[in-house]
Amino acid sequence: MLFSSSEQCPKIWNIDGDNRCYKEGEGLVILRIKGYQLVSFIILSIAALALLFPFYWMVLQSFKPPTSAIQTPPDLSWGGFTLDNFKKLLDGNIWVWTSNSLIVAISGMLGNVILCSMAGYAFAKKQFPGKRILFWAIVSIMMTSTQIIMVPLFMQIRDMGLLNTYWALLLPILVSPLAVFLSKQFMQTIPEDLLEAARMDGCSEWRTYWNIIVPVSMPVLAIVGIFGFITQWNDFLWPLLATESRNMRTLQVGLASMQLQNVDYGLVLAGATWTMAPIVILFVAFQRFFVKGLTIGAVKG
Amino acid sequence: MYRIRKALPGYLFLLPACLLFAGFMFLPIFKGLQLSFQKWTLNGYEWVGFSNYNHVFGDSFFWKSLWITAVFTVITVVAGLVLSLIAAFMIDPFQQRMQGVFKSAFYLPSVAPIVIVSIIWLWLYHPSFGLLNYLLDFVGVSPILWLGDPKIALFSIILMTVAVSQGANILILVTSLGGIPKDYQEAARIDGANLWQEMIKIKLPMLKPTLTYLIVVNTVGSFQVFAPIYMLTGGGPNRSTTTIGYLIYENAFKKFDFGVASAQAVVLLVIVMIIAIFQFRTMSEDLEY
Repeated sequence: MLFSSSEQCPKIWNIDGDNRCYKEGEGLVILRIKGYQLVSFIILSIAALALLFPFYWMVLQSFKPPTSAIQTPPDLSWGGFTLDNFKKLLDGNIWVWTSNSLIVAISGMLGNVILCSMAGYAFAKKQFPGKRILFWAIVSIMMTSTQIIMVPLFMQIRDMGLLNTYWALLLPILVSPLAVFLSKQFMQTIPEDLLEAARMDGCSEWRTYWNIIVPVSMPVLAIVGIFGFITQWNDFLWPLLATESRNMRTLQVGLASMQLQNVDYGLVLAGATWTMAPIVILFVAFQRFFVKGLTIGAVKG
Repeated sequence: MYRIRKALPGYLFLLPACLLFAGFMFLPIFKGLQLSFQKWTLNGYEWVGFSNYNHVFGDSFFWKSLWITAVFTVITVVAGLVLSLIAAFMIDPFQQRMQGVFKSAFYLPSVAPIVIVSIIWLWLYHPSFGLLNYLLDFVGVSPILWLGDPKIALFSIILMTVAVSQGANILILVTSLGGIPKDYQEAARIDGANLWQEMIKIKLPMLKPTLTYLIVVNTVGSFQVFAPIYMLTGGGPNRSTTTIGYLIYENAFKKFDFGVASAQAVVLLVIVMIIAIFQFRTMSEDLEY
């Protein structure tokens, strides 16, 4: 914001003679760093580096000879890189596990985006008896993780004869209460006029949803999709219970089994790096969606 | 008739999601309730009344696991939120871009799969070639059996959990702090409040709704901890890290005692529901019909 005189602007830093008035929260970094901020900066940086260092170490060791990971003192040197661990990894079951993980994560993502946004739309824009109770029933599931229902869910899937099939992996994850909640919160803000206009033009219910609601809701659907993908990619407990054969494992279950029976740290760390890569890529590409997604239900205003 | 036709589209849009919720979330809850009164024998399921519950409540391991879960939950939630709050207060005064850098740095570890985090920490905690003992050796402290000592193992798991899972808390708190109107801050400054007073007396009280929400969500989550226990200690040493979640897993999938495991799951569900009631109270303020 540019001010012509100093009366409107409480503080003026005359940089390059442009008489710009910087509001709080903008301007050159140098000018704005105060004493306490310097202290904060140092403490936060140390904490962040300490948290990220183990991941850096994991990636570093996965590119080093297998025995490097178990050296004492720890080998932190840069150099001597090799692809041996990854060669060994790619000779194993990793491709099958990766494709299983992709199938699970993509299905979870599509299921959440399509089915849950349909449900969210109904909750946000449709009137029908029992709406309130259905909504709360779904939201209440947010509190019960697989942890609580794992035994009966396992028995149920087993009685259906689906254990160790893709159905077992997919059926319980296609919908998530959080996805319904997020889409409903967003769709409530879509103006009624827009829907009215569509109705006037003779759009069918499905067309209204598909051609009006879905495009307008893209911001929230992106969040739902990314969260769905990452949650399912990371999920461990249900794939562990639902699969027995090596060929049905997901990456997480495969990695855990590698860790539990293997002393080859190089191989395990290469597997971990491989599994972590998609998450990091998604994270870097869609960072702002994470912030939005987390704060939609949690922060007022 | 007209009313039904008007309501129909709503139901149709809900149908697919609701069928899946009913089939794979609600049905299992009821089935679990049923299973908790049954025993699985060679002849199939057999009703046994309250015998599973009697077994559960008479089992010292069950009470021990509840105690361990409570210790884990209280320390993780309190330590986690205090640290997140400090971090959020430190991040808040920075400009947008710098805030973004810190938020990402703290959030990334918490989107990492818990299996990978556990693999890395198993390695950090390794008694002979682990990095942590190496660092301790550096400052002259004798090596610690991080996961092998019954007195320490639970705290090692708590340390890992607190360290890697604060991302969401920090993000939510920073956003919340950013939403506090600047007027309050300015008024306080004019009245001569220093930075510390401003944080404690002005901002902290305004964070109360967010903090309540986070406490509930974190508590419910911590109460159901499973994967770190499975990966790091398998409930040991000497059952010192067997939380209720792990105990259920052990009973069901190692001892194949599905009845007892279901009874324990029902108890866990009841506890979580009690915590969740507070959740609904805080959340219902945000929801409008």
